[in-house]
Amino acid sequence: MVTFENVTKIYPGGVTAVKDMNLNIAKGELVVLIGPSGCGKTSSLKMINRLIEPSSGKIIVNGIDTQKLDGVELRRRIGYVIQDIALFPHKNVAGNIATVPRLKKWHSERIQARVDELLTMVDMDPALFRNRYPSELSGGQQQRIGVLRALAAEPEVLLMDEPFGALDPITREQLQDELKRLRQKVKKTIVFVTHDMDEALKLGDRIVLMKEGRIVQVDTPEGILREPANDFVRSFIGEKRLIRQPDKVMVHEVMLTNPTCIEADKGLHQGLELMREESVDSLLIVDELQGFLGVVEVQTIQLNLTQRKSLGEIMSSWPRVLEKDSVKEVVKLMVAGDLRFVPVVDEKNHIKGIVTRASVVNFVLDYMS
Amino acid sequence: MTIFEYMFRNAELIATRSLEHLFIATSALLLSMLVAIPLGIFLTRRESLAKFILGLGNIIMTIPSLALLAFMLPILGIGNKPAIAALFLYALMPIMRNTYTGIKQVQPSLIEAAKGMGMTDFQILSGIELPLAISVILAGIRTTYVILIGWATLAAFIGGGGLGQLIWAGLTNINYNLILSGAIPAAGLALLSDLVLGQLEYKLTPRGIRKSIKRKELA
Repeated sequence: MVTFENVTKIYPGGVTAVKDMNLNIAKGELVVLIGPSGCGKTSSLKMINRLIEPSSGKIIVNGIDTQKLDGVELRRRIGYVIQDIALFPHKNVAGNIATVPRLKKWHSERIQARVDELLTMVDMDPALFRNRYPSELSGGQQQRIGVLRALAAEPEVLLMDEPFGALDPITREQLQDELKRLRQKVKKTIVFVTHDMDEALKLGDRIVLMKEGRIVQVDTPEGILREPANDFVRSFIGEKRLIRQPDKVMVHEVMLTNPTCIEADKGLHQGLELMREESVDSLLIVDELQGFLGVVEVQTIQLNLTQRKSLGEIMSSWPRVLEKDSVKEVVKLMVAGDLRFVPVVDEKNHIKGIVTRASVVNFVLDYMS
Repeated sequence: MTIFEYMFRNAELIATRSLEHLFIATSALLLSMLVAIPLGIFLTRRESLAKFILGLGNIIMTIPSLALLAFMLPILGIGNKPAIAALFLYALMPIMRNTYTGIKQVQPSLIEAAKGMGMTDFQILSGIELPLAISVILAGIRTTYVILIGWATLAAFIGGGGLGQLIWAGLTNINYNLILSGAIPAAGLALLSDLVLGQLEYKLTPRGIRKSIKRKELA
């Protein structure tokens, strides 16, 4: 429906806003252009309706090269919603919605019917709202009318330039939901610019991530979250949002540092004393170089308390994991051996930390919130 | 004999002078609107020229009114023509400036939205910019007209007629009644026209923006 072919935009003064962009947007698809400010997303959008003229390359809308059409004619076929809402303050709701139909010289009965139809679609009673002026509407109502105004003349494509950016978070969410519902009723091709990743993930069929005038990644929300193309994408999405398979989360992200350790040659009473001090029921037994040897649990000490033994003599051997092992591995170990914890060591067998059932749960909770 | 009796007795003369007076002020205003409004619109499209032209207009405003009238004499001779010409020059500046600022104060996002929906430049001007600027433009016209009615009394000095002639005759004969029968109607006309144009301004301001407009009066 909308195709970018090697599109480049260089502004007077030599700033390159968009560099050799290629993109194919299918009919009925909602594509979100997103990126940090100055990445070229708005320039790309405005080149579609030629509010900005490309320096080179071609943009094809519905099979027609936009350069071959008169700019005014082109823009009447393409709906346009901007962040500032920009309803005409001297026209009432009906007058605003009727803007493009009037430019296209529709009959007044047809226009009036269309206005009522659109208002009904967003649950605004036509009789109540038709004759109101923008100054008599709330921000959310104003932008609803802004969207209706863009849809009025059945455009082939709808361009939305940060349409909900100026609204408060609650209203923004409402309008996003409404846009989703609206799309089920009217399947429009929509190009949507935003800098809000949550909005992009929520609304986009596909997301186009841009940086410094170039496309970094094009994928579905799911695809971008699963396989970010590079570190830029990863940081832009935010670590928290990434969908991470358990085998990609590493042990050191989950482990607790400073586990309670004690040397193997220490006596049982010393061990019991340390447990009391640290409020733990198990000790990691280490050699003089902090190398991991095994584990002593409180029950074992109590059983052997009458004998003169060192901790090293009563300790049991215990599985261990490396820092860079995956959490999946640890969880498997824990489940298989019914373990409450697993010590974490480095390549030299030095104690680095400990993974407990609680620390795994905490990590998951943290990640989900 | 009170001033009112005096004026009543000379009602016909006062009426004639009042009509002459209004004719001078109104012709100057209309001619000026004809030039200044299109020029003001043109300047919003040519930013580089705007500073220069608006500056030039300011210079005209600094010439003392009587002096400007005198300048017109050798060019246009005696009568109401030089008076109209001088007042025309005076009116240009405020009308042009208000047209210019009226259009300039329209939010750029509205222009972008209008353009983005496929309005032509002319449709944007006539459908968006002018309706939104109309109250500022009319405020300029109203204030200018009131000033012109005041200055039109000076037309009498160069044989242009008007209420100034009564004042001038009264001054030379030290006849207070005569002075007042020129001055009172002149003041009355100024007040009346302010009132009428104020109503017109309100009527012509689109309903949706009546509440929100802040009147931009001339300095």
